[in-house]
Amino acid sequence: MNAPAPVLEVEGLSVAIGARRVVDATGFALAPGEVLALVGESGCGKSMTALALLGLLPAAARLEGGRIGFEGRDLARLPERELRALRGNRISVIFQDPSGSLDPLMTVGAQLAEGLRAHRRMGREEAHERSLAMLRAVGISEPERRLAQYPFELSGGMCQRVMIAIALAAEPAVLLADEPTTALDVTIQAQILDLMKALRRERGTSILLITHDMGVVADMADRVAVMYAGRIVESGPADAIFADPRHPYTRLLLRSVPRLDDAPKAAMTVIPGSVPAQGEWPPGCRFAPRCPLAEPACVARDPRVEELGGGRRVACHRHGEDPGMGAAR
Amino acid sequence: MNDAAPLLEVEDLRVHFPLRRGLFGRPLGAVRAVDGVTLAMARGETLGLVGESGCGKSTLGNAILRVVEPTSGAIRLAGIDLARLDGEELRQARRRAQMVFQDPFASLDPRMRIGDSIGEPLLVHGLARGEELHARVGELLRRVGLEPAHAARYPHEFSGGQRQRIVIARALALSPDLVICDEPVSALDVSVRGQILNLLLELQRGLGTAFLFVSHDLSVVRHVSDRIAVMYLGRIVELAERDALFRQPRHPYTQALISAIPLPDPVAQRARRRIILAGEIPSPARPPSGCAFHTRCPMATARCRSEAPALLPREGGALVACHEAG
Repeated sequence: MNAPAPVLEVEGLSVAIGARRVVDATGFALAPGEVLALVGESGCGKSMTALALLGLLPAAARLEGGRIGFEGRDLARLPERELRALRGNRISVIFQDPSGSLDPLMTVGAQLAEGLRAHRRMGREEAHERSLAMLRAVGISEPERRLAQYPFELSGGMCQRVMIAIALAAEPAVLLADEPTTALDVTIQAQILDLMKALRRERGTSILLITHDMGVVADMADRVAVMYAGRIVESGPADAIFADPRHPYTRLLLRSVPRLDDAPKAAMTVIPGSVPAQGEWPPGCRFAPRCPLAEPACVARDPRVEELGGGRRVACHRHGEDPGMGAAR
Repeated sequence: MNDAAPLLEVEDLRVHFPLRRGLFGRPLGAVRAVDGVTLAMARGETLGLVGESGCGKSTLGNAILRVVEPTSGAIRLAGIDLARLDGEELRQARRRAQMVFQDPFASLDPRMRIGDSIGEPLLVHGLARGEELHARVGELLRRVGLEPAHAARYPHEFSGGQRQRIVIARALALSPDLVICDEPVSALDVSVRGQILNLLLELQRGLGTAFLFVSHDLSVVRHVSDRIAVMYLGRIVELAERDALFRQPRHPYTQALISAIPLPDPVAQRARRRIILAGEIPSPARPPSGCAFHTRCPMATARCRSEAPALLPREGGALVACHEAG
């Protein structure tokens, strides 16, 4: 294989909260200029994975093991001081809630300039010019005026754009976007997704996109990794996964999204039961209690991750079989 | 009861919230959350109400049941004008309509057994008690896919989807003619949403309940609705049959809204012509002059900036508020 070396390579990453393992030996690689979507529902561990990569786990959680290869170093073993130098510099992050990520007591201009001056050693003038250019690039009107404003004076969509401007100002190798448009209206979401695509196209930034929204995945991703109950259950190129999902969870998840072309008022595909609480995973295949294809073997032993060719992997004893419509209710 | 008469008629409804400086200051103006909405619903139909934040869709739903007070206009439910009622009369009239909110966690009292929550409306209205109440609660639980034995449990013992079932059971306790569902599946995981949508559709078929289905999610609204009203800054900009709206959206805002939904299919999504609107949604405290959409509209003319378009019927029956739309 002549694939370029990945910019980010995660292997065997595990995170625990107390005795509960909330992320269980996940691994993936992000190629230069690639958009990889990490998809899953609440509590599946996708956000914990992102926080672990940046060394930003909440106090109650700890990294139990794994390797996070980035630019020749293992971030899992890097001291906090060195991680801090990477964050907002080589790896930038955008979270769902911009108001929680921007400092309410600092002007937009000061927050933009801070990173530029600290990480890129720019002078005051240069940082100001660069900040203006960044705000223009993310489609913010009247950028001069915005630099002097505080986050509370801006709308949610505008705050999200400021956060993206801050994240991009550093020209990071990797952008980590955790539900970047979930809190936004759909017409604003379309603007933000377009902006992220332009960034990737023009600067070759790799994007790890964390989302629960299959529409956003289809719009953005080159490759997809589907998480369920702390593990990646299926991964591969986006077109292949959407056209021919192999894991019953992926299949049912895709079928349970209402589409603009399905029969209105018809019974929708449903996954029986509910998403297990974080860390309270059932034995064997964790999807087995909700899986229409489950058989005794599924509960008895964990499915191995199998390579299917074409860059696809799946962890299921009965992969490729059709789980049907799920249950009626 | 005449079946052909509309179940609900809303006429030129306005909800303006005064804007003051400080607690006792003079009013500086008003947020026109709902600004002249007229619509009608038939018995047993589902009307979808879509729009983005600040469009007034939730306020409209709340004002219909007078959870918020309308500033002016009429709300006739089965011929009775709710806007003119008070006290006991209002309480009785409101039995015919119930609400289901987005957050099933906030909608249930955590210290009450769910059977008591579900039975409360029956008890309050003096419709059942004792053994009969117990039996009715059991029947309601079964109706929403739970077990009568669940009545003795507390909300925290249930998942989000199950709690929304409990909320629906309570809304159905008084056999309402109309249920206003405000983002009923938005807080639920994708894999669980279908369960609740299927339940709502099944209940509607069995009971003939009408739904006003308020949501920001156009694909969900399309799935459940017979007709759809699109709101922007306090007004309905388009109201049409579901299929007509998606086949031939006429208002430029409806067109942009539909094209902004990312399709869960990468090949189809890449092939699409998309309309990406510029700019932000204006504040309903300072709506633009003329047509409120003109600041983001690719078709806007001088007339749009000065003159607000009326919601008028077009060929095929759709109602559209736009000077330029065909």
